[in-house]
Amino acid sequence: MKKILNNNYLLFLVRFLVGFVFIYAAVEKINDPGSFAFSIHNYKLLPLFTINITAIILPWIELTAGMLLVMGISVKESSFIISISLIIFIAAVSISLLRGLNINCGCFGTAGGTKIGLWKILENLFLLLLSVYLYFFGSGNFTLSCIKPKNIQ
Amino acid sequence: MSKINYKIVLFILIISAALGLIFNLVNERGIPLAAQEKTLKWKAGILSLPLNSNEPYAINLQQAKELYEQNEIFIDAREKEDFESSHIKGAINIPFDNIDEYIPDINKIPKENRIITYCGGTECDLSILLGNKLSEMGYKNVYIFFGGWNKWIDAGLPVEGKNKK
Repeated sequence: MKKILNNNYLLFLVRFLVGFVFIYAAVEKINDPGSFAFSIHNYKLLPLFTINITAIILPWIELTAGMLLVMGISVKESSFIISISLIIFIAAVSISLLRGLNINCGCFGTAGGTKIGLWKILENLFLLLLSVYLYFFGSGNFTLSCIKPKNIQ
Repeated sequence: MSKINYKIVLFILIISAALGLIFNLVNERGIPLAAQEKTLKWKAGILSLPLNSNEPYAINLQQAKELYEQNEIFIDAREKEDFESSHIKGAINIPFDNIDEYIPDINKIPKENRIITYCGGTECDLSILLGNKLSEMGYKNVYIFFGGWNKWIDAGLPVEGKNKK
């Protein structure tokens, strides 16, 4: 099992998948921060004065971490950031569902326009699983990083 | 297994924040760093005169009723399903969540017409958002019926729809 999980191709594939999802999710939000701020506002979780700054910065964290994952640079750190973000997203969607809010997710900007629901949580859980896997198993060999992680077991 | 370097985590976060802030400055769709709470202005006094304002004004049930009796346009900002279930009699439906699809319909309404937006109740802000959007589009006489649907029903005023009650 450990051998499969340490497989360089699998690590590369997962890195690419998670990284691409985050880059894709970030681009639309970066392009239209106003709509993303509106989506955040809909969740009614953050105080008003923090909403815009979140809408400005969060997509760039997603973009940077996603790109680092794809390139295989600082995979442990970027997968850590992505895992934490996913946990926050899952919590936000769950709270909103429990409160009975019928809102758009805002996950991929307004273009997707999917409503929040159980499916959204499962989607995020799946990504979280992949991201945690990367956290523990690293980047594999196919990376652009010139500093190879030393103590791979 | 290599250990996580929290300095790199912090570095990634700071770089991202800096990029975000810089990009927001140059992005033509950039937004202010802190959102301003728009205070809802209430319309006092006589409704017979046109509003001629660049922003919407909130009205109460009594005022909404008055405008209703003058056959002004009521717009339901809730979702299609809610609207179809029941709505203020004669109202049209423009769900704010899908506003882009309805722009052609809105444009059929002359700019000087009086428009009253409403949604679920005081907890619901769709009517305010739609009201602001209409003002942005150049409508000069936009009212937000703030008590909304709930108050309308409680007052026993005319409704229609599949499950009218």
